[in-house]
Amino acid sequence: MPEQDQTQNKTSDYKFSPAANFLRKNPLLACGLAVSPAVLYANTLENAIILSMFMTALTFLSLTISSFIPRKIVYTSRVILYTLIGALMFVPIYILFSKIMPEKTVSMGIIAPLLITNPFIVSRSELQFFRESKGKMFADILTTLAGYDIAVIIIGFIRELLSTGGIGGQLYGIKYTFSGIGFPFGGFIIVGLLAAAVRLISRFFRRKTK
Amino acid sequence: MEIIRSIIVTLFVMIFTENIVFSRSLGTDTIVAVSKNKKSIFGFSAAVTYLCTVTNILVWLVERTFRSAADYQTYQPVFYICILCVLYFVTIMLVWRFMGDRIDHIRKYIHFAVFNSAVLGTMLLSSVDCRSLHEYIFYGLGSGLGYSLALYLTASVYDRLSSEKVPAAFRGYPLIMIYLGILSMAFFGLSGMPLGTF
Amino acid sequence: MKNVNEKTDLQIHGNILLCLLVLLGMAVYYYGLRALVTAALSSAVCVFCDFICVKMRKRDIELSDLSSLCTGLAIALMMPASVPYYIIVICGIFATAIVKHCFGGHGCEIFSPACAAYIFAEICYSSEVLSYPKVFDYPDLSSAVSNDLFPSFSKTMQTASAAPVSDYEMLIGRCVSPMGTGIIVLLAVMGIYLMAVRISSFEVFLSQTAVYTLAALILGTGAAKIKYDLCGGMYLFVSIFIICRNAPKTLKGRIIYGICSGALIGIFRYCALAENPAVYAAVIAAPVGIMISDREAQRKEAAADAGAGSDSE
Repeated sequence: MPEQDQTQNKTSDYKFSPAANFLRKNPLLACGLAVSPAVLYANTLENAIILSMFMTALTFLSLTISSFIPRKIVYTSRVILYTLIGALMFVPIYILFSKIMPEKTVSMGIIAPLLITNPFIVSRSELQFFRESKGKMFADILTTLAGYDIAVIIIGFIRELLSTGGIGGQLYGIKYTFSGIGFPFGGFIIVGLLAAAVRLISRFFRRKTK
Repeated sequence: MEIIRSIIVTLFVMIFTENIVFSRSLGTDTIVAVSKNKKSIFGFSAAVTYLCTVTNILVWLVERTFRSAADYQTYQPVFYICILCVLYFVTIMLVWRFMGDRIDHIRKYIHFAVFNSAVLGTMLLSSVDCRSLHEYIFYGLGSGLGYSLALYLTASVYDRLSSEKVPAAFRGYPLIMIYLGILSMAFFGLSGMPLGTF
Repeated sequence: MKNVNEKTDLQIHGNILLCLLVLLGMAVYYYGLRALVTAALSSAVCVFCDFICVKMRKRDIELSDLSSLCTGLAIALMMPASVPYYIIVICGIFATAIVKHCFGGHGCEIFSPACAAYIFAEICYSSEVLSYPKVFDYPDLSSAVSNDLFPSFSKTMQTASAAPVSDYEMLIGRCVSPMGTGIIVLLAVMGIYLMAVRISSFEVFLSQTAVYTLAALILGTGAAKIKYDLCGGMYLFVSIFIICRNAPKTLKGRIIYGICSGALIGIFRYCALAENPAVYAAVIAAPVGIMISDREAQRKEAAADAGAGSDSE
């Protein structure tokens, strides 16, 4: 086979810090992971909540099952198995969501299947999660997903507030709105501005602790 | 003649009007990661274009065979992921066979290219928009070329986006997002969406 | 020793400011005091926002930096005279804080702040930004005007078989258009002046116009209507003050840049039916121009290194 397995060693250089997943190492706003669904779909608070729920359910289940795949299998085959597991997990989750909220699930369109190949399943699993012990792995996965979900929800909240002047059809008397923020370009700009804000805040806290 | 015209229109639409990055925001993660390294841009964009085109041919086969099956929409992503996995394996084998000494360096980019939301997104979108084989092929080709355009436009200014003159909070990833947002805003004008009251 | 052809920032922006002020004068004549108030507000917002951003970044304020004033005036001149004031304020903040200072401030911008802000306003507030009062129908000074508003001359000509105004009226700007971008005669004079003093590039303008004309003949409206496409859609204003100003240094680079921008304008105009194609093309062509300039700089460095190497041998 072409490559050697370079991930046999469980103890890695990666430093386990779950709290950092919310701010300094936020997967969306600091590391730029899984940006596309947030930019494309999270243009309202409701959409953002649905996206975060689907992402969390799919990713957590896929990673949990994938963590039992032995490290002896070569890297290429492992990655293929992770994505196949993700695809298989997608079916029951999609059916469940279709039963609970059928219109919203249909409105997700291609976003839902795109989450199968999200970076947490395809690359972060090998680079980070599966190098840790099981307990730390679950804590890391949950905090990473929580950090992503919080970021997506904030983005959805801000985009809906700025583009419509309210949340969920309830207007808050905001006189000047920017309808363009609901489009993908607005998502890019909001993600960029929030990423800069997160960087500023985390630097402020770092200076304070020093 | 009609086919040639539809091919030109499809290519134009996929490269400009419905650019996979600027209009659909797909493949953004890999653009941020790959645009740092100017030497790998041509190879990576060629890889994505090849993958978009070849996967679309396989999507056409799958759609022809299974489209009318019950509950196909629910299981459709499973078929597409299988296509991606097969292509990933085949691509790794081909690279190992013909470029064995560089496999370790190239493998990372193949991984990025295959499991890229632009490739899977193209497959999913083409299943909705396309019917005939040539439509699938040129949809994928146009999508790959549109991705390449976005990658080149980002890589060409990457040094400026991460220079010392940029405020530290914006340097790198945040500014790339804003840059993509402004370009996406300009490409929005190509969508021909009706503006104004007249 | 400084090259006599190299201009200081103050000289460049001073000349541009002068030209924009002349256009503003005509806009005031055509649209009344509201044009002046809009331009003053736009400039004030841009300058104030620039001041705040410079202070936040802990930099020194350069009094010779007239770029914010130029941006403010350009935004105002690209808008209809009836545009609500809050849109001008939003454009000014977007142009200065996001498009200028996020990218590093003066001299580091990738996109034209005025063009990017205009596109943002056009998408978010399309009905206010794309409807115009008639010339000499002076809008009042309140934020929301009560005048009748009309589509621009450029928009009308996309579908009309005959022009609603004569060629003379079109040349002197007596047609429904943004405040400062429809006065063709003045723009032509300014274009010649700025190209003569080498602030705008003649090569870019020529190659761009040639490609745009070709696109018009092949894709568009045909030979009879080319003059309307060249005189409308903010083509001259954006070309002279924005696209041709940010040209690469070599002749070959300028021609390539002009061809790219002309092709983009043609695509926007005839394939996407955009009303103001030059503004969109200016934004997309900007990174292309930077790519060409960076390649030129690399070639020059490589040539200099090779020359130094052969000298030492």
